[in-house]
Amino acid sequence: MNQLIRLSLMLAAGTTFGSSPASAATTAELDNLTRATAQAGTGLDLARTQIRGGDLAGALATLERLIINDPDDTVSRLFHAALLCRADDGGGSQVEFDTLQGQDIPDALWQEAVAPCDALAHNRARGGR
Amino acid sequence: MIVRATQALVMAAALIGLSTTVHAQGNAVGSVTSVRNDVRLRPAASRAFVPARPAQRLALRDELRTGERSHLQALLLDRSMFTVGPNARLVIDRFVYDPARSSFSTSIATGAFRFISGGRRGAAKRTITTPAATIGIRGTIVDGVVGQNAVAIAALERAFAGAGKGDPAGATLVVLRGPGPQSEGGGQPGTIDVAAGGVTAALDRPLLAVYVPRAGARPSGPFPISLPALAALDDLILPPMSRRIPERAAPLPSPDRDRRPYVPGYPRPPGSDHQPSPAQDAGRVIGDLLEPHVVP
Repeated sequence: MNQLIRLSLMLAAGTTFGSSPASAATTAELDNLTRATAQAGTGLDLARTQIRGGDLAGALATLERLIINDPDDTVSRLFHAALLCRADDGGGSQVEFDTLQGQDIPDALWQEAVAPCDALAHNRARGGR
Repeated sequence: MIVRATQALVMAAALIGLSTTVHAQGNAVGSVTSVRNDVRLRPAASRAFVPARPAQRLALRDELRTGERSHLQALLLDRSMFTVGPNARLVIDRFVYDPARSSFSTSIATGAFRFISGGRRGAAKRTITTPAATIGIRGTIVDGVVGQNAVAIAALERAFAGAGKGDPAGATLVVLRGPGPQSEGGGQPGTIDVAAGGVTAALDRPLLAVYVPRAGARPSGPFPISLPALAALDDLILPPMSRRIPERAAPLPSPDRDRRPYVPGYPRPPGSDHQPSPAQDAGRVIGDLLEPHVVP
């Protein structure tokens, strides 16, 4: 898993939405990504690594795999909703946050997921990007 | 010394080349990365469908089908991603990866999908074809639905009230999801063009949508999609949660500080005893209108 995380960081450094790594993926790399999301814990670790490395589109895809595997995975849904907000998809983000109402999500996880989203919203409110 | 430096440069160039060009990896253009319930694949050279499984390779002209309550995600070698909802049929028609001029096209006969472009923006040409429209994609996240569910979701939009029925065999609804001009990192916003009936509609902001009711018709829009319609589309692309809060028996109460949904930039609503928002509530009602899941 550490090797996968290093690989992900190496490939994704400095990217954002719509600007994922320039190189092509290999089938072996796709297999690693598939394996990493076979379990929720390692899948969320991968998504966090992709987010830290700036591969936000890759993180969206990782979280969608986790949601397909377990539709009741509220933590993956939370991070997914927050990423939509960071992509400037406010309506999509709102729809997904709505589905999380009433769900038992620890505050620490909530803060981790939405802090960048909140910061972006404040920045927009001040007229920045 | 100069010879060694030259050799090092040649090696470096070779390594860069290896990292940016897709070499033949068998005939694979991608891989199935997630499967839920009944997903089948028909290899191009075969007439028979076989159950798709995670890590299964995808090749050109393979056909994928999802069944009732079934979902699929596939990653392509250019790092593009497909998430597909129930009762979908799609074929990858073309895939050429080159950092300078990638090209990808797929046909979707029916079903709901999300496509996220991979790689750097540039000359990449990515196209999704439906029975009624051709969607040109430039560095973006795009959602779409083809068939009866497109008709059902479009019917929720006031703009199409009384506009006549769409063709359940090919009606197409397309929504640009992002990234928008205010996305994190401030990169170039994604855009899509939807061509139908000899006319092209350009979408350049998140949540703009276009509806093409039938083959040969011109695109209606762009229009801002409503949140109920977006919620309905979301519930097709990703499997809905089974543990959603129960239905309310009474109408929504007046806005309550402690019962509002979360809005980015504002504190998380306290407590867990929240009511569904109007968008969520409408989305649930819409769910009843969508077509029953029938395997095509």
